[in-house]
Amino acid sequence: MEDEARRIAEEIAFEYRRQLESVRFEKDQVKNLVQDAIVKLTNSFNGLRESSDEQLGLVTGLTSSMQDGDGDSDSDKKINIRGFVSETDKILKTFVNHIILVSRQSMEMVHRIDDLSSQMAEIVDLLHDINAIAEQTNVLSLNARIVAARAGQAGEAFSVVASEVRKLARNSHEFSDRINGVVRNSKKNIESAKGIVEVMASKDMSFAIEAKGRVDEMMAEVSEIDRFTAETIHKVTGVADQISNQVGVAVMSMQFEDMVTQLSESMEKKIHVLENFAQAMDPDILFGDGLTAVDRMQRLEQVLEGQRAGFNAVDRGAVQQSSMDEGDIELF
Amino acid sequence: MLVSTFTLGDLYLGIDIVLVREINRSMECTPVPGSHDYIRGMLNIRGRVITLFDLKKRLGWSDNELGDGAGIKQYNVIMKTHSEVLKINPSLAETKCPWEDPVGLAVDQLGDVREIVDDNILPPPANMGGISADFVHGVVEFERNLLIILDVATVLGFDERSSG
Amino acid sequence: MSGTISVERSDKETVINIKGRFNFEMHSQFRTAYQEDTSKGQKGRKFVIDLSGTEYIDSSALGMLLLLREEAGTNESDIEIINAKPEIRKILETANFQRLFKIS
Repeated sequence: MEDEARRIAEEIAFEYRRQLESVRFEKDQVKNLVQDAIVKLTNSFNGLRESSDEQLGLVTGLTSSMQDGDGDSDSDKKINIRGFVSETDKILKTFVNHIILVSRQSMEMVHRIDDLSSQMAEIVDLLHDINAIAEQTNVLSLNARIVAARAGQAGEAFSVVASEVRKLARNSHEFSDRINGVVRNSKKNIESAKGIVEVMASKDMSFAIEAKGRVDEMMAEVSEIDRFTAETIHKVTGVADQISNQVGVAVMSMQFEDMVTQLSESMEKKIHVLENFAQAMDPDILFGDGLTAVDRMQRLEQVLEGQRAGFNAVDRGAVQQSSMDEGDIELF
Repeated sequence: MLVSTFTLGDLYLGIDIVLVREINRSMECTPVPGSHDYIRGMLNIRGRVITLFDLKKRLGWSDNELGDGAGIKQYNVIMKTHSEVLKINPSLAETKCPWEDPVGLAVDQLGDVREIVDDNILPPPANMGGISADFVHGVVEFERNLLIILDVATVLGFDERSSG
Repeated sequence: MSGTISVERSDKETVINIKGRFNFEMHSQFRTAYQEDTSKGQKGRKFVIDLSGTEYIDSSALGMLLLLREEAGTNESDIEIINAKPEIRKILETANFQRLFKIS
């Protein structure tokens, strides 16, 4: 009978230890699962924050490349609309300046050509004078020959001189006619040169006005785009900040890992205490020979005391907290 | 003989130089009312009053043939008088220069003085344009031009045959 | 098709009034209008270009205005362009003429 009871008591102790081992195993599993989940979640939240930062960086970079103005050397190759428009404006101004410069030069040339024309006219007047002189000389020489003819033989030499004078007059007339011809041709050439200069000088300016208007419109559009972009970046930055804050809160919440570890250690110790209890509850205490009932009672009393003290000692050492709010966890 | 030449329209005309007193550029002249239409007017040259003949009109050119007379600068060929020629060449004065009053002829362009061999002078051809054979002393072919030597006495209205 | 120019002169001022089209064909008239004053080499004369009757302006007119400025003595000259119609004023401004002339 007693043997049977001892066997049951030993079986109880064995079953007790086996179940404790199972509790310890599941406790470890819970600890591992929680720790694993915490690591993954923390990584995931940190990843989320990094992605959000990266996204913000990309958006900012994209918009600033669109906005960035006067093409400094680094960003020369980047296409930006404002730079393009202001470059167009510059080119237009240069173009207009060139046209006006060409016109100014052309008009000065026209003035010179006009001066030349009036000098040509003076030449023509002078040639008229030369012709008049030649003609008077001609008449004079004819009259001289008439007089010489009257003198008969004696007038012969005089007549020769008169006819030479007449030749000179005719030569001078021909000469001035030729000059006149050259001057006339020059005048024609000058007129055609003036025509060419006119084409160079005369450019309709309405294109410049239209182009300027278009550039101004584009500038206004670019400013509108800039305003919208700045607004959007502001919003995106706000959203990114929100994400960052919330991730911070989430990561902070993940810091209960320490508590889990402490609780798990405490549980381990308690399991250990329970294991000691199993050891202390030697079947000999209940069933051993040569022990009086008083002895057994005293021994049981000692086991109970030892067990109570051991458990309480572990319990006191454990962290007395059950929620995050009570903990004093240093974040970040 | 020496001939003073000039043009009248397309005609190439000549006058015996001994008959010519002087040549002037055309100048203002005073019209003579009631005179023939070929009398252009009176000229005053150094105090001498000269009757100026419009040669074109004298040759009987129509208005069409006269052309745009206003634009053309003309010359006046002033003739010697009978007594002036008489001192130089009496026979010429008797045969070719019956006039005593100073006269002049208005012509177009002045030519030159040409030496002409008398034997080369031909009688006027039958059908000459622009001038009646009555006014022509004779013609000379000259460098592909036909030089018409004027009979000034007939031009001025003296009938050569009646004067001898 | 081209315009006409009239000039009013007082002791200190020359007012050049341009009517119609201010283009190349006006160059002789325009030059004549100021040459009488500028050829004397007299400094400090005021020129007023009245464009109230001007319908059109092209680059040659701008060139002429620049030449007037130079012939009148560039910096010492006092040239005022007045009464330009809006389209013409736009052209003057596109050409940056407000830096060289008084435009009012």
